[in-house]
Amino acid sequence: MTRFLQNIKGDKTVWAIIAVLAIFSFLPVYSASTNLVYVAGKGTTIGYLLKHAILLLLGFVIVFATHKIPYRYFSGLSVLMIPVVILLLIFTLTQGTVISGANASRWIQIPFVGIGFQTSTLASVVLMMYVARYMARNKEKQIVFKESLMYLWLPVGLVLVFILPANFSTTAITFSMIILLVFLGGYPMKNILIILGVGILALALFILTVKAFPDTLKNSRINTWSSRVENFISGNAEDNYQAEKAKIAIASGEIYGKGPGKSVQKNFLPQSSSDFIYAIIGEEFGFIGAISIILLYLLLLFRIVIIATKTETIFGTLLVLGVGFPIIFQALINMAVAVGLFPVTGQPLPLLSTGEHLYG
Amino acid sequence: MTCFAIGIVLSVSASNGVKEVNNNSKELENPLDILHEAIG
Repeated sequence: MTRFLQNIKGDKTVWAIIAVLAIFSFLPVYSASTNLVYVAGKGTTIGYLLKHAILLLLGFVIVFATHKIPYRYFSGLSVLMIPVVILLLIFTLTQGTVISGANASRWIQIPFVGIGFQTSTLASVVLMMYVARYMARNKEKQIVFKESLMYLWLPVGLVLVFILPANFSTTAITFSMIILLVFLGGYPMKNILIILGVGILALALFILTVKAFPDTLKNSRINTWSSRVENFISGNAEDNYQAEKAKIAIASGEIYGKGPGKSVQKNFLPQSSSDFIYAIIGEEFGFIGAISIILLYLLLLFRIVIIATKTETIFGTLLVLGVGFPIIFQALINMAVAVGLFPVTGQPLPLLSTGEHLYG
Repeated sequence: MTCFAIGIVLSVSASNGVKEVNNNSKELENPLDILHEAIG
């Protein structure tokens, strides 16, 4: 055991945060699984608990294996991975499956393992690595916009175009994070504004195309997310079923919560163990539990910034910020959805939600 | 992929403060370098 612990390197606080979140995740996940067992009539609670434990173990193996790789490898690896993720995304769009009743062709099944895998999240991490590499290599140079269009924005645009039809929120988060990363990397502000304009224009064009020719992209989720935004703006309780149940769950938790396993809304709230796990935490552990989770993510953000500032290379700094910020951003969006500050996105809560979300 | 991202953050943090043989100070410029290094 001591020998094994000696092999664990890196920031101890980050290890502690992921350990605390992973152990804590058993409580709301086990509790919310009763919804699937007794309401949907699928599986057993022990079965879901075991599945969660196996996925956590798998997640730990991925973290452990990745942290043993010297980070300089990720620079070249990103270049090799870009064509791979583009092929995977095309495959997902054409062959993707539906997971847990969710109407989303975002997943592919890993052969023999029987676990779903969300390709867009892999693509997102690879893009961050690639952008960090490009910005680090051009840090000392005067960036030529035309050159960056070819070597930076073309691969970024290609990957995002293939994520967009099935997963708007991941596209939006990834694009925002890339803009933030190139800004931090010293990309000229004027060019950032041009890219932002092009991005918004391309999105508008895409929406109009799909609305005009609905049969061209059958797997597109445009109608889903446009109705989510419309429902959020209209505030109609019937149309916002999930959001309303989540708000009831959080409000009924009050200061100290109802206690572990005592959530009532888990029986009515779809995706209560994944996308809406934060609402169940709010109901069972109250304001104190909900705030503690936010503080843990903020502590993780703080450690990410500290690691970034201590890193000796520009690539290392941008890499940490590029892959670290989206975790916090995604967590904040998930929690904002649960408390009704943001339209429903389908983004899980990183390190806490159950299922394949743990690593996908 | 959260686990992959966390692993990368920990990989960078593991290299911080390692002064003696800090190979991380030089990123691999060419993607093929990875294959060369892997082969030996």
